[in-house]
Amino acid sequence: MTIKDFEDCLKDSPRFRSTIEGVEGDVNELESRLEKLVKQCNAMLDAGRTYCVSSKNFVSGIRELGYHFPEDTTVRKCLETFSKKLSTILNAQEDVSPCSLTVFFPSVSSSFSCQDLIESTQRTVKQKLQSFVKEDVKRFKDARKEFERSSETLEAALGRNAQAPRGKTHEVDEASHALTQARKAFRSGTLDYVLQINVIESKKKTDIVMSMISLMETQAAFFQQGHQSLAELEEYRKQLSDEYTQLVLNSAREKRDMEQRHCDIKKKDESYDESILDFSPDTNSGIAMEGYLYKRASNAFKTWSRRWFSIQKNQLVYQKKFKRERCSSMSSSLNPSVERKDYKALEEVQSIPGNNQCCDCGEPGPDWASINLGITLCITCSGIHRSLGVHFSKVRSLTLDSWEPELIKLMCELGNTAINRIYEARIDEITIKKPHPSSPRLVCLFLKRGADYNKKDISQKDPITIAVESANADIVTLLRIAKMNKEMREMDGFAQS
Amino acid sequence: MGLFFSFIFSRIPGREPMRLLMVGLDAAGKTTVLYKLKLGEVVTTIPTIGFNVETVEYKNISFTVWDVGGQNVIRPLWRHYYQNTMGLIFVVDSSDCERIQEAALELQMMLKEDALRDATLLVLANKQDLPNAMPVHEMTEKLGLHAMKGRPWYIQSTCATNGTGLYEGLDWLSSQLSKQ
Repeated sequence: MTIKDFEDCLKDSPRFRSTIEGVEGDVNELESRLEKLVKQCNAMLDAGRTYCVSSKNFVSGIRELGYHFPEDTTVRKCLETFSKKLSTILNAQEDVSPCSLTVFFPSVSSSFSCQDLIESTQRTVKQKLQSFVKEDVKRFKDARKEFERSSETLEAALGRNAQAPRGKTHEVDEASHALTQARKAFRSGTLDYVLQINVIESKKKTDIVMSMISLMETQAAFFQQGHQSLAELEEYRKQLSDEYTQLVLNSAREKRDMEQRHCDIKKKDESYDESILDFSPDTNSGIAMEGYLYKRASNAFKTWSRRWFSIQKNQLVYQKKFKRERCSSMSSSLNPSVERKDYKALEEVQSIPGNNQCCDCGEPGPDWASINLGITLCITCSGIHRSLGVHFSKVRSLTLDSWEPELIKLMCELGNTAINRIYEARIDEITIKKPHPSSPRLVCLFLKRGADYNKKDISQKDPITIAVESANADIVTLLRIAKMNKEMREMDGFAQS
Repeated sequence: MGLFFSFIFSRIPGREPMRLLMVGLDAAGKTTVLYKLKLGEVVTTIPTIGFNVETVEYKNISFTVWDVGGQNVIRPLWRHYYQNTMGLIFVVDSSDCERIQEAALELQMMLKEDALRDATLLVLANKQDLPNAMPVHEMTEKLGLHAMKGRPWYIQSTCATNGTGLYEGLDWLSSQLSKQ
């Protein structure tokens, strides 16, 4: 609200008075609004500074995380690059002094950081507005006070002039002189005041717009700078995302391989004896066999302690905590080629259907075999088979005996399932149940007959004799004879009652 | 295996009892012989992986008998028991005609060892109760015992499950060893 009519103000018309009142209210309102805005600005700046400090801590945290990957260049480089960029955005290089940033055109500066944003907002908005409130509004208020005072003086002078006694010319003169003085002062005060009103009216517009412009410039510059900074990373980002894809693929592949291996080991674990698992030879380092053994100490206490032993270059070596301790010659006491063959035997024979369980009691992972019956057995049942004599069952270890290739071939042609189909064909007809690992196993093989072994056939042979004969024959005829046995049993003359 | 290795490192000093080493092919009956001597009863055995050792008292003589597993692959480990062995008991399954040659071969190989130079040899022709068991003279021939020079040896037919012949064998051993 500007006052153009100086005549009017000199006349001190009621219109002028009401205009002045409006202006005063307006200025008061403006002042309180501006004060509020300055307060809000202050709060924002404080928050911004706190944000800067926290962000800086965060960024240095990212950089420190990079130290955790001293060997992984991808991760380290990623963390380093990103933290560097972020810190550039947050924190202007110290070498660029704040003075070099012009208040109104901060975008000129090559690097414009978050801190700069705060500083220039401080400069452009807060300080401007504050100075406007403090100086211009204050000047306006001073002018107003002056105006009011002169207005009162004028009024008093007018009153005195009116009351001055007509007769006393001296007093009249004095009063009229005072009135003239007061009017003069009032006029100048009014003019000053009106000027101030006009000044503040125009200045409030320019000041506010100017600070808004510079604020916008600052913001624009900050975000542009940030965009530019991050845009520099675009290529790296693309490359990193490619690397990430590769990493994900690799890790998926690794996981799959691991699962595969886990599965294999589990499978092996089920079918292998634990003692054999330890025998995994590492041919690359020349270690034929390695694992933990107990060793008696050579000191006075003769205590037993667990040590890692390995057989390498025909020497038995043991070590304690990575350090090789002692060598003891063991030349040719173990023949690696024989062992390799045994693994083959074990694996091949165990892969036959039904061979992963003891033929007699069903215990998993048998590593003994009867080479004439063509079956695999657990160690307990192998003991029972051995006690029957070789004319009945020839027991061999799948791991501790050497195997001729022909024997492995024959074993592979038979197998627990095939043999039990013959021997256990009539197991349902007898009252005793098939033994299992926890039950007494002495009955194993006899139970399998499924026939009354006291009965004689026409040639005066009982089933065991026939089985014995078949066992003494070669394995191929065994199957034939076993089949014949079954057929014979099915004939009335040989059947179990 | 663990027991075996630990044994190598634990040389037991002193040699008051007579140290006997009992070897032979797998399933010859070594463990059954050992426990028949020790306990007087037939135990249900499982294949020996490693060894069994027992002290057996007979006629005031104390025998430490080492019974070592006989599977093909672990036979080379026998050598680690040779040291200080005074008597060698070689157990053969008389009914296993197929493997008598293999047994003979192992015996010949073993007796070439320097550590067994002074050891007395007792052969137990075990499992004589089984059908088709070879008689002692046939075993002697097939094992080539007659060709052996410069070593006292004896072959005894036994049946570990009923104890036949075991003490006769020990009698011979103790008389031989006390002569030295």
